[in-house]
Amino acid sequence: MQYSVIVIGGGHAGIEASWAAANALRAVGGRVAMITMDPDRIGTMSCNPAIGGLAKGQIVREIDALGGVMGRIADATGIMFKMLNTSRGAAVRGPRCQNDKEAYRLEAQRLIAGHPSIDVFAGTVAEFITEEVDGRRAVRGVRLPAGAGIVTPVDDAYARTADAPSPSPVEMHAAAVVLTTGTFMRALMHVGEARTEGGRIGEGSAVGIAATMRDLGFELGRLKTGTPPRLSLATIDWEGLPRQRGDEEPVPFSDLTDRSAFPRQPQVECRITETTAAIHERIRANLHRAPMYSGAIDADAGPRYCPSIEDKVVRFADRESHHVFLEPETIGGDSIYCNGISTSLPEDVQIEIIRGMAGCERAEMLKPGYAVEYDMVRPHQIDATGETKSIAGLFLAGQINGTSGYEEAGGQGLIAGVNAARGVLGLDTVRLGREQAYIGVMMDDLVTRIPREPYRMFTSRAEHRLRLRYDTTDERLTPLGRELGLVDDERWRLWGERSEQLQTIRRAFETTRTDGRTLAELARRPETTASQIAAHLGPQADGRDGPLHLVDRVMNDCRYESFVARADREIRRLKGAEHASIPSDLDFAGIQGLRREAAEVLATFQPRTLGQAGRLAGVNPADVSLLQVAMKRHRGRAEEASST
Amino acid sequence: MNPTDGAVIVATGTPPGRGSRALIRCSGMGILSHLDGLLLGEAANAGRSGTRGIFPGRLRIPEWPEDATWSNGPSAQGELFVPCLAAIFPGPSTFTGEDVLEVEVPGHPALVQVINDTLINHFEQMAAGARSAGPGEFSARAFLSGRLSPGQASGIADLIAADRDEDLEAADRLREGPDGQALSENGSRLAETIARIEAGIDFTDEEDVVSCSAGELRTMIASTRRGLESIARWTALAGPAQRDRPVVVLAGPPNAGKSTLFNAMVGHERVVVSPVPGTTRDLVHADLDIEHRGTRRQIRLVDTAGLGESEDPLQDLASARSRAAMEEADLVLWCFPGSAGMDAPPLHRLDSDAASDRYLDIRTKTDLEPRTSTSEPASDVACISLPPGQTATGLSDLIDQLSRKLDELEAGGDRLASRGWRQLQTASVAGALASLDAVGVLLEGTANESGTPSPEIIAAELRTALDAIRRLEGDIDPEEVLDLVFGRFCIGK
Repeated sequence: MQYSVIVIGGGHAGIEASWAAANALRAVGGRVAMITMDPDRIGTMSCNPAIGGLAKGQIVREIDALGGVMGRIADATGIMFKMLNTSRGAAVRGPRCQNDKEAYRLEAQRLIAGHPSIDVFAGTVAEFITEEVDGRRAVRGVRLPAGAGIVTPVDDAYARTADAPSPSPVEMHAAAVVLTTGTFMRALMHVGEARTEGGRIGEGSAVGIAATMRDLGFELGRLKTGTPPRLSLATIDWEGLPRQRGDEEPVPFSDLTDRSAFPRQPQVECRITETTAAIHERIRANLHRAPMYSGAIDADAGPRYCPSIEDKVVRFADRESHHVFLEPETIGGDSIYCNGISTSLPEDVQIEIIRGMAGCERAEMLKPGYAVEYDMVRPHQIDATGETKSIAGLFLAGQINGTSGYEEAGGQGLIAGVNAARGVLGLDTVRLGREQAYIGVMMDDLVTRIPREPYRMFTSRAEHRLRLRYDTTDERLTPLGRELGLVDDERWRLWGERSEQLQTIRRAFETTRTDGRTLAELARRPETTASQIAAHLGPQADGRDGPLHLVDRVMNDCRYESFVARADREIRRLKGAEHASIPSDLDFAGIQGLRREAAEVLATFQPRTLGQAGRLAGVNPADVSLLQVAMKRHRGRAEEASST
Repeated sequence: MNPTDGAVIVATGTPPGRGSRALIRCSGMGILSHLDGLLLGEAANAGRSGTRGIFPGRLRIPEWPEDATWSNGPSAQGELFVPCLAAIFPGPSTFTGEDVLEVEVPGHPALVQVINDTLINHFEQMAAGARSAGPGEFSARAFLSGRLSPGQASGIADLIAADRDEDLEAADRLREGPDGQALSENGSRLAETIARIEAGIDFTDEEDVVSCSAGELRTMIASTRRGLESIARWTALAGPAQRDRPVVVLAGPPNAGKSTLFNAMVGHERVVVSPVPGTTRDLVHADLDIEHRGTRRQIRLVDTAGLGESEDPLQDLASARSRAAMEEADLVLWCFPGSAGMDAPPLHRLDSDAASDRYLDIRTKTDLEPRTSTSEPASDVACISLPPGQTATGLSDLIDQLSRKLDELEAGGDRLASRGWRQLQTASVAGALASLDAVGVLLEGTANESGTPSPEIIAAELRTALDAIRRLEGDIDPEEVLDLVFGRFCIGK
């Protein structure tokens, strides 16, 4: 079997990787194989049934602007939309939604099934086919075990197993492989003292691939994360609890979503309850039974920003209560997600915790919370393109790189997928700049830092936050997406229309005056509202998405203009050095005058650009200057060698 | 300067002033195919065909500027053709690796200036733009395009390493000084404040997060401002406009008449003078021209607090600042009152400078000395008398000695070494203060107990300030290191 690109995994990283690779290959008719343990689980929301949030919502919008699917699926299946941080400036707002997780999974499968050049295979890959090319190892495909095989979608959904399982192992060839193992690589789940192999309840663990990665010379790490129990809605006193509502006027993620027919799903409410001092007492009394505290988990660290309830009780001992959000996992279904009490305590303690909360006195638990530990590949071994530095054509994306979150995984998947396709086509690979996208910030952080906990995006990680607004993703990225072959004609047409409208509005902002002031000046005053401005603009502000939407955006431009202009000057100043490419055969130890510490750090990380090198801890500006000199000399020698 | 922006660079390669011929050099990608409307004659043809060599031709000045004066220059306004020799060097086998054009023209200063501007205007129409070359920028281009030999490149590598050492020393001196420690504390508080504001942005949905109140922010800004202002006084020893101006520091024990001397030299009262020791607590400076044997020179004169043992912690801080100023000085005028009946006291000089020739001893208040004094001043000690309200005596002698000393120092001296670094410091402090002021404006009208308005903008400003402070502590970005290095080469080299 021969494919252009193979994607291993059908989670949020695998979906975006397959989609981006297939689109980037469209012009040459290349095909993508997605191989996953259980095709029925493609697009599963493993943890909370929600997409977006602060900084994460921006990533979803970026994926969308680059032609990805996460925003479209979220819009189609969202059951409560909320813009976070509305009391603060647009640069730090983030769209978020609750989703019907079953609908989400099915919508993801419907899109994959509808893509003419993606084939889905059931199977667990344990081995790569590699060969030595010009002194560097390169991936050439994978070995599928017996029992694997293609799965044909029925009614746009996939079954668990192959149509016709192969009786013997099969080789599948491709010049690029994207590996997205999620929480499944050597996965181990903990519920109190009980341990089960697997990355999600009722699912398996990918053991062989961990050994393969180690044999190929990769340095692996181990991370852990957790999820809360799910409760039965029928057993909760739902109506008696305080409600949490979504926005009156929900904002979709995707530029493709028609706002006049949005939202598509009926909208729901969530409920709020809380833990009590008595619950905290029971948790303290049972800490020795939590695997995290008993030492049963040998992972490096769990996420500090998403602590388990036992963590919260220990670290913030003086608090007598923590909020718990009860979120429906599906419309009309019985399962309720208990946001706020992620835990690995034994089931009997979990029941005690739940029944101690108001409204849940008689609640039944459908699934216990659990902790999962899994292998990751330390991400300094990839470049910001997603490609591993040691094996040509092998790309990693998602939780395998030590991140957490659907959005982070999706962003990496898209980058790895498009670069895998470009590698196959012999085109230059793409890195997004830190000033260009949150995805760029994330990729750069991953390759220049040793992660101490699962990596999650925050707006504060982006030094150019003010120019990375959620409402400017199309201007920032869609033209690039078009150039890369990721943006189809329909999206491109809409983009063109919107650009023209924006231009009209921007012109009007400069030329229309009221009380001697231009609209742009008026927009900079914090008390001015979009409707006040729109009243001056008249019909020229109208567009597909209604007038206020684009007016609001141009107002935001005005408000951040001076800061963005200042940042832009700095970006231009550093641009040459930032993207200067470091030759992979440059010998850091041989650089004249370079401190040994710096040479060692450089040798470990093998940065691919001067910008990456400068952001490594232990490398100072003088070291970067010396590296720059060495690069120039190296290039000079290379040119001499090639001219003789 | 940004050696990597790709703009066409233009500079006059002969020294300023009247010479018989002047050479103006331009470098940039593709400039030789962009000579139409600029050059005529053989030179234009050579440029068009990329022929290497020196050719006669005429250079077109489209519009002679009204304000350019030239006694026997063009009588009429408008277009003008100047005869020239043009040297055509097609890239990449040139010094800079780019196309290089050199025009040799009559060396009249006004004409040279107009041609210089003409070349910039002409090449500005190209995509990358055009501008005057910064100091050493031709060398920078050569280096960045890989045109320097391995040996030359090694030289630059050494220079970067050495340069960095000096900068680190300068940063260390600041860091270890009293202001440096305050700065470092301010930096930490600033970082903490930013973290709290960031938490208020990224974790609004968390119950535990308490963001920074407007009042807390105001307090923090006021304290950081104080620290920066004190650094500003210190770095003002070498402002950017005065990079070639030596810094002369008045120092000595308290009540030695330093401020009186300062005012006398400046020519008017800048400093409050009182007979009470320890009146001056901060650094005060003035830029002045001094004249010595018909040659004028510019100096920056700095008055400092007296150095002495004191119980008063504020006075100790002032002394520490004085010492820091002495460290940075090119020349120290060591003042001691002759009336105390002693020669130049070694007391409180900098240990590292025990035998330094950076000191000039000044015996002040000689008018108060008893006539019967037995201690005849040594010949190399300037004597000065500044009775209140009367004309100073000995001032011109002092200026003579000071000028001679500066000549000596400059002949063998390398004290001007880290001026570039100080320039960065000055710019950093100014940048940080501007950012803090901007936050102050954003907070206007917000009550102390309220949260901060526009936290994302406040965070951006505070980050700018923090970056500037970190830069003062010796962490600067690579581009600036290169700028410092190339800033040492002279224009058009």
